Amino acid sequence: MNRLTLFLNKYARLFQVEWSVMLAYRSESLIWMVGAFVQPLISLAVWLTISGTGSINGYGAREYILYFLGVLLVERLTRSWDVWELDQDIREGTFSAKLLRPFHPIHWSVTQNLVYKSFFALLMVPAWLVLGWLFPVLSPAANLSSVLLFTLAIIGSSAVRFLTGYMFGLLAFWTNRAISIFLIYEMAHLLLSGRIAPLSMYPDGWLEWSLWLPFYATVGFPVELLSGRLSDNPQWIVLGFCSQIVWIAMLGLALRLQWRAGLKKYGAVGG
Amino acid sequence: MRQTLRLLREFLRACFVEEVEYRLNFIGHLLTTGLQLALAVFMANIFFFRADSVGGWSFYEVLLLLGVFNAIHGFIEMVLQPNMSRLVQHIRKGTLDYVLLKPVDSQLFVSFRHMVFWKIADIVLGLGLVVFALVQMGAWPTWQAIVSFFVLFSAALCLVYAIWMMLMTLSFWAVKVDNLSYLFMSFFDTARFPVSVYKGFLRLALMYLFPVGLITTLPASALTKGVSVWQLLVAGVLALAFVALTRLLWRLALRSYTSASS
Repeated sequence: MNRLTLFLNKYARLFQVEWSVMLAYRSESLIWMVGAFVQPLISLAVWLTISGTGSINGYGAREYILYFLGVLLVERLTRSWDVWELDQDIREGTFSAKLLRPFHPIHWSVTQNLVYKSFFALLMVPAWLVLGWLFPVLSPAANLSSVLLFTLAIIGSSAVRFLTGYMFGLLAFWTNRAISIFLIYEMAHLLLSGRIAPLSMYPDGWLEWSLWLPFYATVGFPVELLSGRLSDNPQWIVLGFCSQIVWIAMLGLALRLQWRAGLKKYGAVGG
Repeated sequence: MRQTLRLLREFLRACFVEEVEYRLNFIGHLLTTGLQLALAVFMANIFFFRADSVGGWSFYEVLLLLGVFNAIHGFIEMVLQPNMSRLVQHIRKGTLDYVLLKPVDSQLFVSFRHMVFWKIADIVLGLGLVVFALVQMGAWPTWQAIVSFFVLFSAALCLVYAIWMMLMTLSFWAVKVDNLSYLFMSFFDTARFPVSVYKGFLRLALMYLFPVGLITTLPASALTKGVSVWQLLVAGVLALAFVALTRLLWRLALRSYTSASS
């Protein structure tokens, strides 16, 4: 067997293990999913109140509903929660056991992300399709190419958010406030990524720079790809994907460096 | 009553002494809270860039509401979260026995023994935002308004306490209720905006079923729109009724408590 098939085999096995772990905690997974629905729905309610029966910058009631349904989906499929786990593992020393395994600990986190995100996708995508079929208002004007681009953007966005989350988690090697630092970052992400409002709701030209940070490219961009809002300006599509690729490369490199420095710093608690 | 107050003072003192050891945490915490508050104000700005009012509330009125929200959120993190997560542990591991053996009221003890003292900054900063918003609006409230604010604010604290206490008492019968606190916090985010933002059934649910309307909108209204005597009375009675209900539920739960081992 060559190395690649061996590697993929390991991943398949990990996936099986993590999938059964997730199924054992399926009620928790559902609670997490439902809890995460609330925030976008609040923003939706506020925008619906503000727009009333009119429309703002091309967004009427229907557009807002579609936009925030998109946010719900993208948020669930790209969010990273590795900080909590890493923080606990490193603080309590259980990270040592993971380091001893003949497989880099990051692969466990990657599989966990894949497992939960496939679970969410399996629930949410069919649910949206049924809803769209029952209430035609709720189905976006998507075609094959926009769905394809959307999927690509989701993968890129998950990678960016996973790498960022993992780096914040590794901060636990140095400080015990990794989670609160991450929460501040998340708050900035909430404001600048398009989770509380479509980009065109912001003052003109205010957030163009947010495309270059790991914000708009991770949430607003995929959502607007799906709703077809970007089909008139292909340069934004190219820019969005470029931004994702550049960030994945830079974060990947930074993570490597941080990992090496962190391991030197790590002294397991309790052995 | 005097004993209760003395106990509460002692709990607070014990937690303060415990946390003075980690003074640096206080600065870290103050920075986090300050930043979060600034970002929340920024968020309100985004909504108000496209509108003069949200659900009939002006920008500074919403800021005032955000201040109330932050203060109550701080109360939850300072008092409820640390105690309630311990209660669940106590029940799971059977260590509640030790609490029951103490010559103090057990509900009082499990509800208030452990407080995260530094979170008091959230409450102070939240009320600070309320004052800031009042100054910006330029209309100083009458003393009646101030009194009704404090009455409604206390009622809100009682309601929040009662809801949490009842949720956590459920762990006498069901093992995993930790997730309920996550769910509570998610839904509590709806309290960041006046309840008039929500429409139809949702508004009714948020007013009476999961009463965030009573928890933040009503106290904030006392300083902005004004409240009627009726609203004051309803909120007060409801708060007392909820707290009495936790008492009943706690008694009922203790009767079915059989400890973990044996």
